[in-house]
Amino acid sequence: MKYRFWLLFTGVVTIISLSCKKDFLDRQISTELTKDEVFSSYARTRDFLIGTYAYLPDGFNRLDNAMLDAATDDAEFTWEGSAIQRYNNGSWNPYINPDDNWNARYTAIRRTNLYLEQSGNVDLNMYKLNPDPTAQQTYRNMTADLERWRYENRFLRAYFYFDLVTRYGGVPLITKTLGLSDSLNLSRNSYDECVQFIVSECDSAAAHLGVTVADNDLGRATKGAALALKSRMLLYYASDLNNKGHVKERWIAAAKAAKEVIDLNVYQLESNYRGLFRSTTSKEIIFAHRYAPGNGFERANYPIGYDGGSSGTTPTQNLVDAYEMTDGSAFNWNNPDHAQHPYDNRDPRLAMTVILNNSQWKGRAVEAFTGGREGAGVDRATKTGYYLKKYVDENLDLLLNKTSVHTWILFRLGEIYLNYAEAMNEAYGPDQDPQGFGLTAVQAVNKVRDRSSVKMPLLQTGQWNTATLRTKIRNERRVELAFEEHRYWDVRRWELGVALFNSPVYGVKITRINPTTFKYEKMEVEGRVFQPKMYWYPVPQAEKMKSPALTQTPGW
Amino acid sequence: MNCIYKLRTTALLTVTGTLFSLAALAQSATDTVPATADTTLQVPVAYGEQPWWKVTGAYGRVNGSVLRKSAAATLSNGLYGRIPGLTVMQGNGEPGYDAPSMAIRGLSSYRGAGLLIFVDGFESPFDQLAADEIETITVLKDAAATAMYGIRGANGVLLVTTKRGFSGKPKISFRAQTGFQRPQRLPEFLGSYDYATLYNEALRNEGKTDKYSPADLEAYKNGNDKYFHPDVNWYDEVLKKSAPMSEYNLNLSGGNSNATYFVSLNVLKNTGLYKNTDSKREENSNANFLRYNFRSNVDIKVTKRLSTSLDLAGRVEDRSYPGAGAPEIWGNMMLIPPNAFPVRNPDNSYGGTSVYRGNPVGLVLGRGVATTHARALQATMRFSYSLDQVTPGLKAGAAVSFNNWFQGNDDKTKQFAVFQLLKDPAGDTIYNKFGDNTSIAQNDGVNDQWRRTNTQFTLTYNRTFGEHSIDALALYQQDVYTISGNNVPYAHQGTAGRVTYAYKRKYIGEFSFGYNGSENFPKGRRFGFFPAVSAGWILSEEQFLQQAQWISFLKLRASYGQVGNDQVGGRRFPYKQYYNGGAGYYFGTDNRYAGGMDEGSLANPDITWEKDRRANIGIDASLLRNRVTLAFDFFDEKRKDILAERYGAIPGYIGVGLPAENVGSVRNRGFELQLGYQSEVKRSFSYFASASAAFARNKILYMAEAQQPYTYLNRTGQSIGQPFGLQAIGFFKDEADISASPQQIFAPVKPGDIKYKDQNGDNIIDIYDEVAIGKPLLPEWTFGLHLGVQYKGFDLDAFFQGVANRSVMLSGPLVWAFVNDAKAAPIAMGRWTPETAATATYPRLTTAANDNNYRSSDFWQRNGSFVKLRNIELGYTFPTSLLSRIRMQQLRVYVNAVNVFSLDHIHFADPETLSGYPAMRSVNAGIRVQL
Repeated sequence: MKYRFWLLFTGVVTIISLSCKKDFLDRQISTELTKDEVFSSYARTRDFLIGTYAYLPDGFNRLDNAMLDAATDDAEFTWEGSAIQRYNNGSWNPYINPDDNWNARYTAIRRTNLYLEQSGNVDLNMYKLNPDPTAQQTYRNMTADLERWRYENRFLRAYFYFDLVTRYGGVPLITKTLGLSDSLNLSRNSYDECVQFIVSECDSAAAHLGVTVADNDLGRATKGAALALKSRMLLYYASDLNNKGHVKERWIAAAKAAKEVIDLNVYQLESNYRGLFRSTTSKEIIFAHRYAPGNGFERANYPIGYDGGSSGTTPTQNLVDAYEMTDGSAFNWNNPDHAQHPYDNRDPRLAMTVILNNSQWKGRAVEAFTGGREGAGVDRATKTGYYLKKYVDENLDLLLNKTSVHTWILFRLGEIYLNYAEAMNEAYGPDQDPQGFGLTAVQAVNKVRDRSSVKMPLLQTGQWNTATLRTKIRNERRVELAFEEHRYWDVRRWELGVALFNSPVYGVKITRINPTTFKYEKMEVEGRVFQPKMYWYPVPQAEKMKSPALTQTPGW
Repeated sequence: MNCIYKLRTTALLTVTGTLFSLAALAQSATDTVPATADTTLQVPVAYGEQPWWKVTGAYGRVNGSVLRKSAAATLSNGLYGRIPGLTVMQGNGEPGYDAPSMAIRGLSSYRGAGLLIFVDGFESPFDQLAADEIETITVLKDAAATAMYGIRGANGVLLVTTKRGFSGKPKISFRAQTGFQRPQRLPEFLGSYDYATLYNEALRNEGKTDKYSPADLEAYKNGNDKYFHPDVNWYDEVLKKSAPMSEYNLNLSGGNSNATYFVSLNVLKNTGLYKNTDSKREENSNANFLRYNFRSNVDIKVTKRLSTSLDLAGRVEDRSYPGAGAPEIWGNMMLIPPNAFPVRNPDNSYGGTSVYRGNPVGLVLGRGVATTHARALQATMRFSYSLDQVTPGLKAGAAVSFNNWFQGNDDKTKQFAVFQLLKDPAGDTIYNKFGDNTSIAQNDGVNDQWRRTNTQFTLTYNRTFGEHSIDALALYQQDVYTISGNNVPYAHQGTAGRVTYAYKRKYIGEFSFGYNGSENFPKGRRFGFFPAVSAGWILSEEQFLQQAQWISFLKLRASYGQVGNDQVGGRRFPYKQYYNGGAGYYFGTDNRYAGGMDEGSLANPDITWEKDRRANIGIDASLLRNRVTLAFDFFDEKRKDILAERYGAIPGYIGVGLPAENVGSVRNRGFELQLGYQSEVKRSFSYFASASAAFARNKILYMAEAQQPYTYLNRTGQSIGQPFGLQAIGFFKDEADISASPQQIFAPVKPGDIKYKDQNGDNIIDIYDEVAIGKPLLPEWTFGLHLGVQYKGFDLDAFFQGVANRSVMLSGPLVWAFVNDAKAAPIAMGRWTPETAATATYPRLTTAANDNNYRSSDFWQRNGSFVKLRNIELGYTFPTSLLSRIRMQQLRVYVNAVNVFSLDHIHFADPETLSGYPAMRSVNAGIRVQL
């Protein structure tokens, strides 16, 4: 009977050895790729860069659905518990800083460094070694793409550094991918070094990127984007906060950089100011963050009385008062005519930026008055008496969850003109053009004021000195670039934070006298806190602890 | 021998069928105290069985009949406190989703902590098995018990054994039970008048004007304006008083010397608490759970040497729910103020406002129906071939098991509009609409499934040579586990062995090991060897104790060994760095999407499993003719190589996800003690009592924590899950008090706000003043107390469970008045006002979220200890003399109650389920017939 045992035994051993032959624990991993598999492939290398574009900042939803301008004197966010309010009540610090983007930016920067290190390894031999003319053409096209993408990537890296430097001042300049075995106790580079780096990267990108791109590549970084970033960086560098010695050459450099963008002659001011912010393809846009169709921005910012709305970021009276009268004079509450009809005869940009009481919105008059459908008395109604219009798509039906494409403009020609005007005014004064740029400060401002849908009175040559024009340009920036994340940084670089962000914001109390008549009274909405240390963000405390060589921002 | 005699008596009494002996037998086997001295009684151990006296490891077990008394729809809900060392914590009470969480001997790892669960020798979930098909549930605790599971054993193992047939006359038993359940405890909230009064006060505290006029308050007080001044208790509007649950079970078993069988059918119907729902489930649905369990365990002796068994266990689970999920329904019931809007407007539309659009009645009745249909099948076939011709006592075995589960959904959901009633200036009612009524949208596209394929080969050898006996087991096993949505299956493979040597029934020595690996580690580093040694010494067999008549049985046990845990947490295949598709971007005039690519976290080529060295010593004793039983175990475990990403040490500017590295370690120590007493039967009266206590406390020795500025901030050195928060030291009395105190940075403070202790003396209260407060959520102590009496045909049985050294942190609408539009609970009545400053128990009220008051601090922490009467049952068994005439073997009727009461420190909510669908209290009546 022993044979039966041996039969069974052999059987069992065979089964076991069969099952062991191919390693049972080797499980094929088909969906995940290694570094070599990514960067030897043209398509995946392309995709890696595409993924980096997704790291561009999202101005529609900076924090808790609030826009960054809700942390300035231009706007108030309706929800009191939002993290954005910390910038208004001063409760931010190295431990809690909702807009802290230190780690997120360095993640994006690592991607750009990795791309520069790896993107030279793409294997194109199957085209290169194929004598067929189409293959050869493909090879040349792909080689050109890869070359161009490296400079798009370098522009993006410069942009991410710009994003860090405006917040933290000098930061560690990391230009290679770090590993765990590298020395990880870096210290900050100086602010000057960072600016030089960003500017030289922009120069390098500008030298290699095309002025325009093919239609299907629209949205990729261009020469204009690189020069626009350079223009803004140099403008910031020349500003009071960063230019304590008032070095005039910095203003000249800033003016030159802005002029380089203008001189590309591919951008033109969009005639329809309101339409510009609903456009993806406007000739005025130099570079933008592009998105899938959505309605999150409308859900956040439609007035509370409209289906799906939550009021969101609401313009303040401070901003509304900044819009001039159509004759170019300032609005004045003490003028009874002004006070009685505060929205009549105003800069057309007001009605294109702000939803005003009793104006038409989505087929009916807006009821922002006390007791109205989106006025005081309704929970979550605006605290300022205004709602946001810029960028908001009026035509979405949120109940049906309709969506539309939104595009967050990072650079546009309008800004560049104002950059230029400011730099020229500081460097040479309102009407001088000693370098022969062909455009004076006053003329540059007029370009913006002369937009066909705006047509504000032009500034006259010889009527301005540097100081008065400075005020005018600052107001023009505020009005023209409202809700585009400029005010937050402009006030800082002008060193006006304590003057402007440490005092109350105002709204308007609207009383309905009869269906067509309203009484408007300016009222205080909220006190604000800004201390000198807040010009610069603190290094996040956790990062400071891990990397002791990082010096903390003064005052924090 | 005395013990044998006792057993015979018991057996005899069983035959006569008197109730108390049945209960006594069941009882003696249930509470894990050493059973009476039947040397052949086998108990489940890793991959097999052992005679109970040869066991040298630490085990705990409970019988199926005890679980049945818990009358729990989900089997694991019957385990509260039943097995010392198995901590079971209640989850929510939603029918079909009410499984509790479990831990064996507390926690030894701050990463993956899941138990390994086997049903009849193969991995399988057991929550939805029926208590009537369960023979025992065994918990494997120490290294000796779990070493054979090697790389997978460190978190403890649960072995579920189902019933099998026996050779003898067929036994048919039928049980039916039906009952009603209602929430153990529902949170309480203030009515409209109190709410409005406090809200006005909160507004005044913020310098705002009253929202509610005196006329409004008067209207709330009178309560006769139900549309413009409603006072809605959402729990009353949405919930029924009670919900039925019923269960039916049929067991058939029997067989002859060649084949035995156990066949079982179980039907369970559990319903939820929602009111006015459509019984046809077309428009809407209550929470319904309908479950069918089938089992057929057949054992066949094919030839003299070859035997085989086939186990088939199937299950069908049908669930249907309101289209809105329980979190949304219960969240809104807890949130919406009583005066926000009426349930329904005069035109019968749902009430609602711009802020509150989730009318809870609408969520239940107006959002359609979500249903899931799940089926499971576990099929196991085993062969066993006796190799006595090679050497007596040798046997070869093979087994294969397929286990799979599939769930499909069929949702018919819709949205509903709410209308806010407003009065226009003319005084006419206008309806302000929010949301929209939509038609039904159907979705049946969400499928979920998993399957397991297991293979096992064994060689066993059991032989006695005079005073020596040897039991040995060698095993090879492999398993593949595939989950939908994950195309890389999980796999394990390995061998394991156990040799037990016993001399004279006095001295027992055992060596066991597991040598196995998992697919998650790099090739060449996949397999680990995990040995354990253990020994037992039965002192009661020694000459020197033979005189001590009061000692019936006394045994010492000790074990030491190492086990592993491959469920290390984090991503899979961490030894390699991967790239994967990531967020893309939009290009072109047509804004076309292009996919992106991301770099995954860095690789750790040296990754390995957690290792746990553990020691256990134990005593099992049975005294006074087995009337008193005692079991004690002490354990000491040290887990190392726990994964941690060094985010606390590596600067963020590295810019990439960090690899998990084997750097952490945790120590875990504790004990289990169990004491039982079984009385003699005097004049048909007997009683028993069994009490247990278990304690486990862990300490994180290392976890790669970032260097903290103050040592009291360290998580290292604390228990896993230790809560941290500020220490409240009362309320600010006045402005002078505020200016004299450290600055609290979370929000501007006013008199009446909570004042915190400045731990570091820097005169600023911030997150650096958060210290360890209270205890973790998982209790350190668990207690069980099982009491029973029998008199003639009557039996009464009660089970208490308790836990101690546990804290809960209260937060959200349950306690935080007005925060995020919440209502107010009665504790807000004790709020601080200048007048009540001395007696206030709650901070100054505010309508906006006050970050100073509403944050993690010991002000909101409560002692989470409790004692619960988990179940009590009164039964009557009809005398056999009566039953034999109608050819019935047994007839028992009973009533029982579950979760009868809870003694705890939180009076307004259940300390285990603070929010969401609450745990249930139920009362059931049942009948059991055996033919």
